[in-house]
Amino acid sequence: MRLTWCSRRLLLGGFQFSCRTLSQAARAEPAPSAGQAGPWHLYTAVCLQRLPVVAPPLSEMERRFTALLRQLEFERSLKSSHEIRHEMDIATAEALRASEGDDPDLAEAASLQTAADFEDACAEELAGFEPAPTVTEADRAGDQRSLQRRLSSRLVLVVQQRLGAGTSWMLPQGRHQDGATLRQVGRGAAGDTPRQTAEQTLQAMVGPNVNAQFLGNAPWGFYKYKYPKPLQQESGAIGGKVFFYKAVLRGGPVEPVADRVADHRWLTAAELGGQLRSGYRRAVHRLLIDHD
Amino acid sequence: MALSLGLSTVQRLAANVLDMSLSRSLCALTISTRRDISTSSAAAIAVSHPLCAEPLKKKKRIDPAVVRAREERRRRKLEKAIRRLEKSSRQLKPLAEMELPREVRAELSERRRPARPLTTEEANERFDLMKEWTRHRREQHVADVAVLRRIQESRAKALRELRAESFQLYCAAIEEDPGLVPWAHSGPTLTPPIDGYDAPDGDYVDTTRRWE
Repeated sequence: MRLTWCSRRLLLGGFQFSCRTLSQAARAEPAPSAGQAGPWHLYTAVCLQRLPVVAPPLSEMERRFTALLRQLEFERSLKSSHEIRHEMDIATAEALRASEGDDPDLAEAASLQTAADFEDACAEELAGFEPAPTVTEADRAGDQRSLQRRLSSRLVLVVQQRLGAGTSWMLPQGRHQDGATLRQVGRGAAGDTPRQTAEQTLQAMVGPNVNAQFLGNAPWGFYKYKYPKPLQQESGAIGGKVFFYKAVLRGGPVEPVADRVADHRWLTAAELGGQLRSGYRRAVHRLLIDHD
Repeated sequence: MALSLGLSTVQRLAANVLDMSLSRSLCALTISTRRDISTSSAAAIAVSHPLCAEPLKKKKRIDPAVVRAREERRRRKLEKAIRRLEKSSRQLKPLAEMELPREVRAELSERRRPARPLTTEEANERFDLMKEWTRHRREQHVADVAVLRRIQESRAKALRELRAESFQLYCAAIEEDPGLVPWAHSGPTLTPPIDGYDAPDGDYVDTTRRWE
C-alpha cells in the first residue's frame, strides 16, 4: 500500500518518537517513585496466533475492479499463439468445407488436434484436480477447538486457566518471578527476562512441542487488575500487572496441559468478546489486528 | 655457465673460440694487450679465480621525461581496460519477459486485435468504477494506519508501565531480538494445502540468461 505523505509522517513520527524516548529512557534510570501503596505481582501472558492459511474471498468492489482490469488487459494485449492457431483451424475447416474434401493436405491439416480440442483436454485435466475446500468441516461444525476453522482469519489461543480454586478464560498467563539480586540487566542467577517467562509460560500451558515464534523482546500490551481482598491480605500484593507477548504459531502440536488448563479455544478477534471479560478483552483487542 | 677451466685447457683453445660468452661465466678472462717476449706460442691469456658473481651492469641514465611517458602510457592502458569492463556492466541487460519474442515481432500485424471503440456509457462506467476503487483503497489504507497506530500505542503503554515497574526488566525488554530478522513467512494461498498430496512428477529448469 502506498503511503501518502501525511500518513507516512504519522507513522514515522510515531516510530521516531518512540525510538527517541526509548533511547533517552535507556540512558537514564528513573528516580524511585514515591507513594506506591504496595507491590504488584508481574505476569506475562502470551497471545499465540495462527496466521491466515487462505486468502479471504474478494469483496464486491474487488470483484468488479478485477473484472475491469482483466478487460483492459485483454483489450491492450496482442493475440497469443493459441488464438492464432485457433483462427487458422477455423480457416482450415472453412476451406475444407468449400473444397468439399478434395484437397488431401487440407484434410490432413484438419485432422490434427485443433486448438479447441487442446483447450478441452486442458479443462478436463484441471477438472480432475480437486483442491481442498476453504470452508472446512470445522467451520460447518463450529468447532472452536480446531485449528482448521476460519482459514482466512487469524486465530488467537484462549485458555480456561486454573487459578486457585476456580478457572477463568484468559490468554495463557504465568507469574514472573523476580530474582532476588539482578546484577545484570534483567538477568541474573534467579531472574529471567519477561520474554523468557512468556516462553516458559507457553510451554507450561500447551506442552513443550509447540513451535511458536515470539515477536521481539518487548511486550505488546498491558492490563492491570486488583486481587480480591482476602487474596490481597494473603499474598501481600494489591494485584497483578499483565504484560502481553505476541507469538506466531509455526507448527507443532498444541497439547494443553490438564492440570494448568481446563479447556482451550481458538478464536478470532471478533469472537473474543464472547469469552473474555470486557476490561481484559479491551486490553487484548488493542494489540490485535482485527480486519478479519 | 660455470666453467672451471684449468690453465692447460685454456692453452689448448683457440683465441676466437673464447668469445664474450666467457664474460658471463664465473670466471673472468683477461687477455693482455701487450705481447711480451715469450718463448711459448700462447698469448698471455689468464683466467681468474671463480668470482661467484657477475659484475653489475652499468645502469644507464634514462631521461625522466621518458620514464614519465612510460608510466603515463601504462596507466592509460589500464584505465582504458577498466572503462571497457565497466561499459559492459553499465549496459542494461535485456529482460526476456519485457520484450516481444522474435516470432511475435515478425507477425505483429496479424496479432493486433481490432480496435473496438468504447461507447460513452462504457467509458463513463469505467471512469466511475476507477474512482470508486480509489476511494475504497484509500479507506482501507486509513483503516490500516489506524490499526497500526493502535497497536503501536498499546506497545508504548506496555513499555512505559514496565519501566515504571522495574527498570532492569525494561532494559531487557528493549534489547534487540536477533532471531526476529530475517523473518520468513509463506503467505496465504487461494486454497489450503491438501494433506498427504502426492505432487505429479516434473521439475522446473531455470533458463534465465545471466550477465556478469
